Amino acid sequence: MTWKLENSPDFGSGSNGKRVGSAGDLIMARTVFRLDFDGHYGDIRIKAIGRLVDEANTRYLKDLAKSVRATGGDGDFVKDEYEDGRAQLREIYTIFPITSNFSLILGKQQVAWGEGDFFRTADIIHGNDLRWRPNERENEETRNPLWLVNAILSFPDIESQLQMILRPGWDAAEDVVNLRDIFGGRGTQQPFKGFDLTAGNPRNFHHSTGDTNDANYGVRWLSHLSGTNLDYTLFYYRGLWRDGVTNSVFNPKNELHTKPPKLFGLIGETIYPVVDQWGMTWNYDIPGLNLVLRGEATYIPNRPFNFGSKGFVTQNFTVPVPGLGGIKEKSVLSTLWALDKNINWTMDLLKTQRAGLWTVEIFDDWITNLNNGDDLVAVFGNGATAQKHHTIFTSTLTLNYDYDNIQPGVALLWDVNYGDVVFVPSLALRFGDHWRVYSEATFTFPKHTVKPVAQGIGEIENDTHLLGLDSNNNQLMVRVTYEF
Amino acid sequence: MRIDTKHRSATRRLLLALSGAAGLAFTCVSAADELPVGTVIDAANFDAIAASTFEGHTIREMVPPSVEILIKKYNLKLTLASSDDRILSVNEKFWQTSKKNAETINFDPATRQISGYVGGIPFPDISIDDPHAGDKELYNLFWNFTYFGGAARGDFPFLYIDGKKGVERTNLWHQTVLNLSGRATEPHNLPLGEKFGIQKRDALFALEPRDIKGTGTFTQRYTDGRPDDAWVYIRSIRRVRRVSGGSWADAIGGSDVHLDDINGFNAHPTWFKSARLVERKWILHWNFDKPQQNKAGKTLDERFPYLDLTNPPYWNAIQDWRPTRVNVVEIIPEASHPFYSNKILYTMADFPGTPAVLEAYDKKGELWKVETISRGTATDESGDVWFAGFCSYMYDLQQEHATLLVGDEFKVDNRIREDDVTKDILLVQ
Repeated sequence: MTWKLENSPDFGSGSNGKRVGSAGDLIMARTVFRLDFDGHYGDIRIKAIGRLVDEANTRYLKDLAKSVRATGGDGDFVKDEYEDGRAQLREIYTIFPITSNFSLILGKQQVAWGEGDFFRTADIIHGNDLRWRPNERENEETRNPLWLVNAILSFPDIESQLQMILRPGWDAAEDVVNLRDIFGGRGTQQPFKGFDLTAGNPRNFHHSTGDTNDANYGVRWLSHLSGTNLDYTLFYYRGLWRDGVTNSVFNPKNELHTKPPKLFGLIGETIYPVVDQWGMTWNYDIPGLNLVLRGEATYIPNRPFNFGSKGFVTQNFTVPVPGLGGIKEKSVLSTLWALDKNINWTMDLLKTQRAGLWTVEIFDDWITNLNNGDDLVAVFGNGATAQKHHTIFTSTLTLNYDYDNIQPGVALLWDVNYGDVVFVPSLALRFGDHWRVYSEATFTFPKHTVKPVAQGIGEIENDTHLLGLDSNNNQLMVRVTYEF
Repeated sequence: MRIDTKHRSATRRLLLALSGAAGLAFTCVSAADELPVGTVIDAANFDAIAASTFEGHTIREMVPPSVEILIKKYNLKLTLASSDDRILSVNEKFWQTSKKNAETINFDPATRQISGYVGGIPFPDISIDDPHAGDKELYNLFWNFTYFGGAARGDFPFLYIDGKKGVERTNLWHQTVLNLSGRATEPHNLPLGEKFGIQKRDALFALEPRDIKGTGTFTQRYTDGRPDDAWVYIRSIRRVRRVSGGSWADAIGGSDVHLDDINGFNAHPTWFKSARLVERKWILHWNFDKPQQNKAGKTLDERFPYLDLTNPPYWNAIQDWRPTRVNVVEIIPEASHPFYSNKILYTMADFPGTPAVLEAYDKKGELWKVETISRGTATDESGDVWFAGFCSYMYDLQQEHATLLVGDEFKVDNRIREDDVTKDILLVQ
């Protein structure tokens, strides 16, 4: 369950005529049943995971839906987007040990590459369902399992492994891409809650530049640098740009030479072009310091961006939606530099029972061939332009009390370029063999937010950035779990 | 037996207090009587029969100070049984290999490393007068898993017990251990063990409850004492994460056990500053020759018939205790060790390197934890007898909390190959 901790500045035809969203509103009441199955048949293993979701249509969500319908949208997002009532066989796969050094894992599964926690530049195979909760840290629940052929060839004499991934293209389109709350629900950025942004910009999963029904594939080499404490991977994956870009109806013939949008929307369609992704990850242990360093580097030579921070501008008219200028491809190097350290001083200073775990992650996106005139937008619909480097610092601290029955934690995200900060304190409690309670509050301190001008319309500005998108949305989440 | 009085001071104060308040029960046994098999030693009669003997050794001598605390303060009862009923044995091939070491093995006092090791136990015969006896017994402990054959695996429950309230929770784990070097049977070293100097691979992952199911660790330990390579799989994010080899002494989350406590001693000898074989003596100890779990049991009491989970402190073993000849080893950690100032480890002299009782002292020199480690045996497909199963019961006397590992189903499985125990084992759980 999640409650708002502050009032929203939304416009909307709320049930009582006032703004939609006040401190104390219950914005999520979601129940999930999960069932795991494990089977062995000789050396062959079968695993299956099922999930049933029940989400209540709270008063807050009803008010948002009412506002969405009043502005031309569908408004059925509790059922359609948060998947109330959906029973799903999330994963079902079989592990075949073909030889002692060759295994095949076939079926609907999750394959997570990379070393990152918050921003995962190398976790590139799957789409993520961020609609019901965009900042869910247990990402096995938000990573969409896919039908994959996962082949693993081991070379034990050189402590190495070759992994080959083929996604034949049998998946539901929504599972392949990242899905976010842009339909006016509780996760839609301010001030667009209650306004369906997809109404004028629907998703096109089957565009000529990227079709979820087409196969994607990749390969990863894992190894260990002999004589050192360094593990590394090298990978390549040809898949879709899962965040999508808007193919502007005003400038559909762009550098990609795409066909005009097949689905005629008000301003364009969201498409998911194919991209090539090259990368490496590494981790390095320094035992004397009880410290692990880790990192990622992912290079995309053809990453699509929307341009036009003022919108689509001609001599005669302007459509003031940032990013409607069209699509440009740029080469981007995304990197992660991180460390994990057990810190013993928490036992003396904070009276923890054992060492706390401290992590630091620094992410950077580097648009290597950004030119002054490119006018790329960082986030479609927001006027801030993309910078050559965009760096975000994150850090977490997890403490342990009472035999790990009490685990407070804190996470901090800081946009180094722009100063936006997100602060997330949390508390995990364990009661016996069956009950678990987890609570997490999210506080966003943006340097600037998009102010509403009218219902569903925000001011034209250029100072709202990634971490500021969730402004005016401070919230408290409590999760109670019973394990059978 | 000379033990640093600083470490005895707390114990001595407690013992004095306990003896004054014991309310000694009068028994018909005089101080020098030989006690019969079946005698139960408990808090009520301990002081009265401390001078009595069993198989020629006094009870006082055979009960380490830490176990005496468990008896007097925590209601542990010892039922005396004959040492003639030998529970443990290991096949002759193991001993032949171990004895072969004497022809080639060398201990370098300068580096505290060994060379010329073949397999099994490096030093099966240690003289009490050997100035390096302590280190040699540590090497026996380091290679202790060779008593389990080439490889072993099994599921075992952890019980977490509050000494005042009872069992807090339980969970179920699986462990697979593969010895890549020092195997008692040919080949003594598997190819990767030979090539990379790997001693063993150890995969430990949770089976129950659901929130930790699949979470586990994979550790690769090396023969020369370089830091372990270790990884943890965190199921909720579906990722294998590197863990620092420098965390070899850290606490196992949620338990009373630190990593280097496992099996009494879970480290390379050179990771500790020094070790001294203080003496050989006899103590009362227990091992097992029958299943320690009743899988058909519906309640915890039924599932664990050899544990008193009903009466405070809810953690005592219900066993037959037999006189066991032990080495008493004092282990001094480096000053940088974050937790311990000293450890006293009692190892079975007839099975060198096999732990029986561990006493761990905190940085102030106060007794902190007591661990009893017991073994069983099993026969492999070739008819050879190996150690099998372990019961490691860790008691934190300062927190009055215990973690009990009932691993009686951990059995030798020589079918396990190098390819079966890799980091990928974590991903398929």
